[in-house]
Amino acid sequence: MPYSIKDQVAVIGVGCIKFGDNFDQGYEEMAVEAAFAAFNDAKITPDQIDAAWLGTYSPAQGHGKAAVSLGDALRLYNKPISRVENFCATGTDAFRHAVLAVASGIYDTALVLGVEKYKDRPGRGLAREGVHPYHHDGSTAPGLFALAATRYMHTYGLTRETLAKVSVKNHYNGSLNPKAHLQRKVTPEEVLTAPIVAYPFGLFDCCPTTDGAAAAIVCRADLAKKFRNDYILVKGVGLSVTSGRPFMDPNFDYLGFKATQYAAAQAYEMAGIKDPLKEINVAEVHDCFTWTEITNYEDLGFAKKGEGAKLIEEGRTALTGDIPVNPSGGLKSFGHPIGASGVRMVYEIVTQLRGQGGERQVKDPKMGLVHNVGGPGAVSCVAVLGQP
Amino acid sequence: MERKKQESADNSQGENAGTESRSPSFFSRLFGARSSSQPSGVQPARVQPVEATTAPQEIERMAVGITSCGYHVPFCRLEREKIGQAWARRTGKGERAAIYFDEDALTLGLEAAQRCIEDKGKSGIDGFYFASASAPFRQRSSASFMAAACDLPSECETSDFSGTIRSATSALRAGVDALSSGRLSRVLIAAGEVRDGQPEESEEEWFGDAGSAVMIGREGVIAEILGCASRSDDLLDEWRRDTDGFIQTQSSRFATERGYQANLVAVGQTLLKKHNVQPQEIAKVIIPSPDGRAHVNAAKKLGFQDAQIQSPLFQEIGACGSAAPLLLLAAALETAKPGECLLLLSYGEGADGVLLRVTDEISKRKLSGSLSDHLSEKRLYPSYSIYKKMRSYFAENEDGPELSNVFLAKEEKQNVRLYGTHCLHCGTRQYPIARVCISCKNHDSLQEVPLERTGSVFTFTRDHLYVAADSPTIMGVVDVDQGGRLYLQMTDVDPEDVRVGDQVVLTLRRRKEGPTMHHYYWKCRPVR
Repeated sequence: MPYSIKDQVAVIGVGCIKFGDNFDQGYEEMAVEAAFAAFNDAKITPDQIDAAWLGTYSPAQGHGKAAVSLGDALRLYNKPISRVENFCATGTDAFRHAVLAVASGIYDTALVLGVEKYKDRPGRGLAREGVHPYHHDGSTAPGLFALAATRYMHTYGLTRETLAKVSVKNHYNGSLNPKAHLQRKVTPEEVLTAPIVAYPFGLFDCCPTTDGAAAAIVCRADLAKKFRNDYILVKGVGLSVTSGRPFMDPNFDYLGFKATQYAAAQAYEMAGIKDPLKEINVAEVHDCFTWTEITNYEDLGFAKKGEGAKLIEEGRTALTGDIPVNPSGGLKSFGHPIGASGVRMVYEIVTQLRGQGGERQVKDPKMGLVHNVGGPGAVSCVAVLGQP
Repeated sequence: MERKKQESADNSQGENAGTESRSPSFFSRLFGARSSSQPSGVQPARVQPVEATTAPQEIERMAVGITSCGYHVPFCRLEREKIGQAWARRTGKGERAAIYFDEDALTLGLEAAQRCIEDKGKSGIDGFYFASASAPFRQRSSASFMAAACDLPSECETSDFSGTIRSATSALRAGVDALSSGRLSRVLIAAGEVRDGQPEESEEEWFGDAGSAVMIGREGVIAEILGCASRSDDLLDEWRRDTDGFIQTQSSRFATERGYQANLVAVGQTLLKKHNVQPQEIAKVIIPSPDGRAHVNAAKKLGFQDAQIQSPLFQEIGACGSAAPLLLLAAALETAKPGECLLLLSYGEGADGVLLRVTDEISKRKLSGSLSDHLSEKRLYPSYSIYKKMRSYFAENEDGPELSNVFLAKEEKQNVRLYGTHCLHCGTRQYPIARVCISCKNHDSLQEVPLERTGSVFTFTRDHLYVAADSPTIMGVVDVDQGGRLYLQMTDVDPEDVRVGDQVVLTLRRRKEGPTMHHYYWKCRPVR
C-alpha cells in the first residue's frame, strides 16, 4: 500500500462566487472575491498563506497563463505559486497539489484558487488551443462525450429518456442553490424536445458555458483547530491520466472511463474505503453531460458496469436518496468554468459536511466525494473528504 | 543493367499473357475473336494498331490500353429548376452535379483515381497525371500531392495538365506515348473539374462537377488504344483569365459550329482515316456535350447513327469539362463487348481523338457497382443559396490554421499517406504514428505501415455545435479494416442515416481553410 495522507490535511476555509454570465466581473475580480471569501471563512489573512495553486484551463485576454495571474490578482507576491492545467480535472488537481504539498510538511497552509472567464471571448467558449490541426478538427466537448454516449447506448440500450432524468434531478438541485448558474427546474419533456447539440445530447443534456471562481484553504491537520473547530479532513486523493486521443485508441470500449476508475481506486485506498456506495454519503461528480453522470456512478463504484441508470431511475442519487449526487446542481446547473469546477465541488462537499447546505442539505453526511473527468476519459481526479 | 530489364519484361509477358501473346498472329487472333461478338449492324473494323506500322518491334510487346476506369460524381446535385427559381427564369431539365463544401477538382480526381487503385492495386504505377482546368492551386502540383495521397513512391513521375477542358485526353495521349516508348509501364490518369458559369447565364445550369480516372498499361488491358490524334484551334469559345472567378463564354452558333463541331469532326475524320475505319465499324462514339444537344450534330456529321452515340449524361451531371471524356469512356466500357471499337473525342481549343478496341479482358473484370448506381445515390440541394454557399464557403471562411512546411513535411506520411504503426510484438495497429505501442507498451517493436482505406463506424455523433458550412458535422470513430482506429468527419451522407457498424470508405477532403493554404485531411463516407 502506498503512503497515505489520510487525515493529515484539513480544509479550513472555502469560498465560491455566484457562477453565471458574469458580464461585469473580470478574471481578477472573480479571483479576488472567491479568495477573500475563503480567507474570511478560514479567518486567515493572505500573509499567512505559505503557497498557492492556481487552476485555470483556458487562459485568455492576458489572464490565466501562469501563476502570476493569481499573484497579481491578490497582490500575493514572493510566494511559491504554480498554475495547474489538466483538462476538466484542473481544479481538483490544483487542490490535490496543495494537499500533497501540505502533507509533505513543506508548507503549513496553502491556497487553492480555481477561476475561469469564458464569457468574454468569441467562439461559443470552444477554445481549442494546442490540439492537432487535422486529427482533432471537428471535435467539440459535447461531441467527444457524445461518441461515448452513442456507443454506451448502443451496447446497453440506455435511452435519452433516462439521460433526461439526470438533467431534471440536477436542475432541481440547482434551483435550490443561490450560487448556481441556472436556477430553474426543467421537465423531462423540455429536456427531450430541446435542440440537439451533439446527438444524443440535447441542450439540457449539456452543462452551460459559465464564468466562475472558487477557493479553498488547506492546512496541516494538527493546526486546523487554531482556525476553526468544524474543519473537514482530506481522506484521500487520486489522479489518473490515460490517452488524450481516446478516439484513436483501438482498445478503448467507450463504455466508461479508466481514468476515473484508477483515480477513485487511489483515493479509496488512501481513505480506507471498501464499499463506496455505502461509505460515501454525498458526491459531487463530473456531469458535464447527462450520460457522464451515469458512467461516473459505475466508474466510481456506486453501480456495476451497465447498471448506472438504475440509480437515477430509482431516485437513489436524488437529494433524499441514499447516495445523493450533485446536490449543488452539478456542472449541469451550477455551471462549468473548468478550472473553477473542482474547487467549487470541494466548496460544496465541505458545505454539506458542515451541514450548511440550506434547502439542498443532504442528511447527516460523514464522507463526501469530489470527482472530475476530462478529455474525455483522458484525465480524472478524485478527492475524498470527511468529518474528523 | 539494360539486359536485365529486358529479361524481366519478357518474364512478365510470359507470366501474364501466355506464350500466344508473343506470336506474330496476335492481332489477327484478336480480329477473329471480335468478329463473332459484333452486334448486328456494326461491321468489324480492319483496324491496325499504331504500333504495328510505326514501331514494328513493339509487336513483340503487349498493346497499350485502358486497364481500369474510375469516376466520382459529387453526392450533391442541384436541380436546374432551382437555378431558374433563383433567377426567375426558365431552365432546362435535369440536375447538375455540384461539389459539397469539402470538395474541389483535386479531391474529385483523387476519388476517381482511388477507385482504379481499389480495382487494380497500385504496384508498378510509375506515372501519375492529373488533368483539370480548375485545379485548386495556380502553382503547386496537384498531381504530386495526389500521388502522395495514393501513397505512390517519389520515383513515380507526376505531371499536371491544365488550361483546357481537353486536358484529360491530352494527358491520356501523353501517357500512351510514355508507355509506347517503353519509358513507363503503368500510368494512372485522373481528371477533376469544378465548373462555375457566370451567375444567371445558361452555363451556370449546364455545367457540372465530376472526377474521372483511367489506369493505362500493358497488362490486363480491357480496351486497347489503337491510336490518338489531336489538333489545335485557338477559337475563343470559353475561357478563364487569371482574375476570373467564373468561366467566360461567347457561346453561340458560331462557337458551336466553327469551334466544337468543326474540331471534333476534323479530329474524328483524321483518326478514322488513319486507321481505315468506317463509322459503322465503331460501336460507340463518345463525345462530351456542352448543352446536351451539340454532340449529336457532331456525331451525325461524322456519319454516326443515334444508337452509336454514348449519352453525355447531361441530365444527370452536366458538362463537366476535363472530367467528362474519361467518365463517359467508363460509362461506355460498362456495356462494351470484346472486339468492339470505341471512338473518344474531346474538345477544347482544338480537339483530341482516341480510338480504342475492347479486349476479351473486359468480360473478366468484376465491377463493384455501376455508374448508374453511383449516380442514383445523391442528395439534392434544397436551394440555390445553399448550393452557392457550398461552393464559396472556404473562400469566405479562412478560420483554419497556418501551418509550417516543416510540420507538413514531417507529418506527410501519417496525414497524407495515411500511415500508422504496427506492433511486431503484439500486432496492434495504431494511429497516429507512435514510438511506444498503445497496447503492449513495447518501444522498439513498431513498424510504420499504410492503413487500409476502408473500415466501419465504431461510434459517432451528429455535432451541431462545431462551426462548419453544413450542420450537423458527423464525427465518427472508425475501426479501419486490418487494424487502426481513426477519428474522422463523415461526408456524403444523410446525417440521420448513420449507424454504429456502418461500412465506410476513406476519402481525402478539404478541411478548414488556412490564411494562405488549402488544407486536406481524411474523412470517411458510405460505400458508394
